[in-house]
Amino acid sequence: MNFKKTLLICLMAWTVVPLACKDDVVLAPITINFTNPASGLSSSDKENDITLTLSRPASGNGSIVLGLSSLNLNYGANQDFFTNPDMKNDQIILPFSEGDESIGFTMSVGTNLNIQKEATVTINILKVTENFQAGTQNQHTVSFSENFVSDAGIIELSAGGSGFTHQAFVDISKNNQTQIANNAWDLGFYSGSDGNYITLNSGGFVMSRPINKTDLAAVGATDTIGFAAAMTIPQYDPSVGAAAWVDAPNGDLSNTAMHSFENGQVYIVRRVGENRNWKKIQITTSADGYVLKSADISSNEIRTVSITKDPAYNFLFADLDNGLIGVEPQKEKWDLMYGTYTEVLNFGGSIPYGYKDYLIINRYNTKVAEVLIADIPFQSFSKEHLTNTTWNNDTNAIGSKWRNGGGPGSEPSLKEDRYYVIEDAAGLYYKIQFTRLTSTSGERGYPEFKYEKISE
Amino acid sequence: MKHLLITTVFLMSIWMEGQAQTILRLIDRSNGTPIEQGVVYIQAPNQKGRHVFISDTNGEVHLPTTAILYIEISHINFKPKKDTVHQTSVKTVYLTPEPTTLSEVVVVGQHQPQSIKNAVFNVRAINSDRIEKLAATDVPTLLSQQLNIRMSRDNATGTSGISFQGLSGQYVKVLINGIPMEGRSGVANAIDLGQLDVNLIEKIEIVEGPMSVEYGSDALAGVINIVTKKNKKPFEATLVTQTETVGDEFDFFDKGIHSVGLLLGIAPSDKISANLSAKRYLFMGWQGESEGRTQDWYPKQQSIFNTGLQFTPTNALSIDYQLDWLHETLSNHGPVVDKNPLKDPVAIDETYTTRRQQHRLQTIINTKQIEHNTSISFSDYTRNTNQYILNLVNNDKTNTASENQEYVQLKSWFLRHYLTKNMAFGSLVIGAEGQIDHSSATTLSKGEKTMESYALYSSLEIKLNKFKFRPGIRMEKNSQFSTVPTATLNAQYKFNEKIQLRMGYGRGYRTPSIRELYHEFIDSNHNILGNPNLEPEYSNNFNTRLDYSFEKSSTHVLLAAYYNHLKNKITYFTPTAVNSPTSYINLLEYTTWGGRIEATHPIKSFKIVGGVGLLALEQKLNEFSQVPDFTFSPEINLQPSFTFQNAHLTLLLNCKYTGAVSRYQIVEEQPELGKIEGYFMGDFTLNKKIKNAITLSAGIKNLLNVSTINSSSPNGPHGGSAFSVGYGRSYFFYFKYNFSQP
Repeated sequence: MNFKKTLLICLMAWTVVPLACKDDVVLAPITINFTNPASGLSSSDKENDITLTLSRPASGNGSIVLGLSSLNLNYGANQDFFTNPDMKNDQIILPFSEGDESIGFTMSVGTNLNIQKEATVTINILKVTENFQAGTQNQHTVSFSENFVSDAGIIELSAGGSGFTHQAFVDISKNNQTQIANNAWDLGFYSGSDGNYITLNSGGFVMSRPINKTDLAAVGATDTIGFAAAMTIPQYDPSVGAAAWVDAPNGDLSNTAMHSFENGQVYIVRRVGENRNWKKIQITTSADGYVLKSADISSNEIRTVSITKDPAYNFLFADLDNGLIGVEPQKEKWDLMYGTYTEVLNFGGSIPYGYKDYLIINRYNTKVAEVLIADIPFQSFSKEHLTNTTWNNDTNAIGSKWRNGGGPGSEPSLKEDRYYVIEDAAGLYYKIQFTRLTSTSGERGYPEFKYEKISE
Repeated sequence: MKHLLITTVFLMSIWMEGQAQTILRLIDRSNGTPIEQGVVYIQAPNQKGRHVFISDTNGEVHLPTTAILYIEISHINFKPKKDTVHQTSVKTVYLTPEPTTLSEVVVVGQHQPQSIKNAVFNVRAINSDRIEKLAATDVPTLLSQQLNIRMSRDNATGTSGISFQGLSGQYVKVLINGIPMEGRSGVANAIDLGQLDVNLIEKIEIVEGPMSVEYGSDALAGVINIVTKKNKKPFEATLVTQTETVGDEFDFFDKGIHSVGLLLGIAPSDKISANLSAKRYLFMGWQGESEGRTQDWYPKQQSIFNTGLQFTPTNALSIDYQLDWLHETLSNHGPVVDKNPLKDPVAIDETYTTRRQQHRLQTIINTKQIEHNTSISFSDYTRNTNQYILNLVNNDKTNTASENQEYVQLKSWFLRHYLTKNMAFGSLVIGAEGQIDHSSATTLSKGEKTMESYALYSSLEIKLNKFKFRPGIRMEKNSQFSTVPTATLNAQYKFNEKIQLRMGYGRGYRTPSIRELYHEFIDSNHNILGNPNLEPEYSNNFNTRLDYSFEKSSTHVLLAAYYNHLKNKITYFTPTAVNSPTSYINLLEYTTWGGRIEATHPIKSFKIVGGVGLLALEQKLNEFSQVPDFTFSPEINLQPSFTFQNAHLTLLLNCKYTGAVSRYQIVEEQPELGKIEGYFMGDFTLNKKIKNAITLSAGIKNLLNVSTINSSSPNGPHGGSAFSVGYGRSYFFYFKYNFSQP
């Protein structure tokens, strides 16, 4: 009797107890590290942001004390180098506030620097506020050199947030990133001596559709009836043929929307963004470049721009409202472009489709290989593996392959099982692995990757 | 009252004569168990008065005399019997059970509560005894074992959906004690039946075919009415606990299913009673094929609370107030993001929180000729999606961008008054109904949406010897769209006690959902807007059912068939004009037909219930393409059970095979057939009662270890491949303790 009762009570207790709540408060100090172990300053890169990363947003206000040491360099704007905030007694004190995720200061080249001296400044974390701790990457070296090469680091790409307003160009070996507004330009003019090609701003969803006329002035609104409905990205109806009005997404120059521009045809250019009217254009080649004629569709105020090839660049760029504009860095000074892009999908026929979180590699000297962690772990990849690697030099070799697409009820996510090896424009090999798809607060447009140079 | 008085007088008179007694013992012929609550009428020879006795828990009736008596015994679950008692001290009377599937009393849509056998509609019921024997933790599991009903699970949201006669959950009306349950949500626009407390359920009544006259919109494929338990004892307390593995995943705290429920009831007098119940249910999720933190089935936590007060001051008045309250959280755990060695590992998690409450007040006033039935209900439903970054070092949560935080809110007022008048030839019901819905959501265009509908309805039940007819009509006025009168006609012909035939025609309708009217989803690749000019969907339904009961053996066979033709079915539509958004339009036609054959056959302690069902679908997918033909899908179920009477032990096997389902979808303007494979679900349960107070159950669910089945769905931007129907073989233990003061 008593045994039975006890048994029953035990059974009941056994089934009820798991419903109790569990305590899950954990206290752990926040770790502070230099974001990158090294950076470089040169005659073309005269100012550098040096940042420290907190392992999570600061739980309170505090400060960090950095110690700077250098051999044979003098401090001051008129000397070799200077910082903001100012260095005092070989130290910089950086305050931070609750919620901050990174802290930074700038270091600049002084007017008196002799870059040929190949000097360095070493920065150490000396002291941090209580409840914070310095991590293992507690030292950062700044090289004053024309030949600085970054061995490892972390780069957070920026397309201007979830609105994807910008395109970002990254030079991995310099740990450097520059941005340009998505809709700042329309056309690219190939600058190489091996041919004449026109590309579209595929990141800005520009489209170009030929019409069967060769007199720009004779083209008017009546020639473009129905174009607005047809020239869209995405255009789900393959029978419209809209895929022919965008460039081949792999960067194949013989397969661009305007591959036959030399026939003298007029093209209607669809542009996106505020105050960016659709245009009619006609392009001819000249001895050392191109001549671009453009006007609003129902206007005959024709604007003519002459473009002279410059071998330092892959392309020269034009904004149909404002003429020539700088977009890509010099061809040896970038590796990756990040932002939106126009893909061509098979939807029972080809259709153009807009992608976010898309990556393009530099067509100059650059190639990539995708490696599965299951085959070779990230840390194990070394120069011996380079020979057995399958390289791809399509500009969209990475494209959107590094992430999973979203759908109704599911967000896009990072593909955790792979990383990339890249031979950059300068002939250096890096392995890169994405660490985030979104910002730390979940906003799209701010992915992050880490990289390591593969030493030869 | 009257009977009690007569009985008392009778008893007193006998008492004077001495204490000689005759004991009548009522025994179930099929299994030898005593029959409680049997009504025994006795009449002495040459006397006019009849007296009534009720059998006790031992099936015994103590007749205070040894004189010769005529007796007449009746019981709701047994066939009536007449006999004579001759000066014996103990007499055993064997009663033959009515097929249980027919004796169950149903209330949904009825003018008066009556047995399934006499109901003019095609009704079936699942009672609390069966729920307890199966140790079911939720309603979807119970319903999925029925023929013509299929349950599905939405992997993206972790909610359960129903398909009834081949029509989805948006065409099924769910009622609690006859009052509509609110809070349809999501793309499926259906009630989540997983959000009901099974412990509280006295009975689930399922009506096949439209009940749109009585219950308005959505009652197109049928109606599911949940009848809750009512306490009648001075004091009653029940504790129910259940522990279950989820596939082969189990842990004391972090894995498996852990559930505990408590029910309390008091009735200080027969005029007033109150009840209270609470349930906490934890489903810790199922990892399945997922890795790390992610899970194929999202963990679910539910707290369900119900309280009620019944007041019956006189026979002519009863007042019943009930409050249901639910808080449910589903957690979608994201993968660990820890590739950046400088940052704490984090994960992006989502929770889906549902809060639901419903107040119901029902009053019944009985005058001599007319019964007035008034119901008022208010429900408040919200579902929030919260996306946040979880820091895995210190468990800090930070919300992600505001566009990832979503909510849906629905507040609904419902008022219904109807009167039932009994007449010589049958009965008449006239009713009026009003409903006001207020809703707002992040996926809708801005502002609060209000929809009002008012309806008048009437139905007449006419009895003509063996015939029973029931015509009905409903007229509705809706603030958003025009409606046309809805009519039904049902008929039953009772050849004799053994054979009954039912035939019915019904027109059903579904008013467009708030989402279909006001949806707004615009981003770089989507442009979907609701269509405020939509019209209701209509259906014509024909159904028939034939029941045959074998007199001696309590064997029962039924044949049922249905045909549904749905018009104006709402679908997505993308116009070809410039930059036009995708919207909704009344375009499709949809036909389903099917049937089932079901048999119940008891052999002493062994009982077998089995059946075969068939579902056929035909779709007209758009104005240009009619799909080639019907697609068919069979079903088979088998539920053998064996009871050891002396040991109070029941063994129960519960199997259902759901056949492959094929559906056409439009791919590149051509219909293409997608197929979901068939699968088998089987449970084995061992159920033991100890002294009526304790029930222990243990068993195995999903005997064949089924988890995902293949589906070949046509390619599209979001085409799928595998379909999750279960989480593999699992084991459970169920414990119930009931204390009651009679």
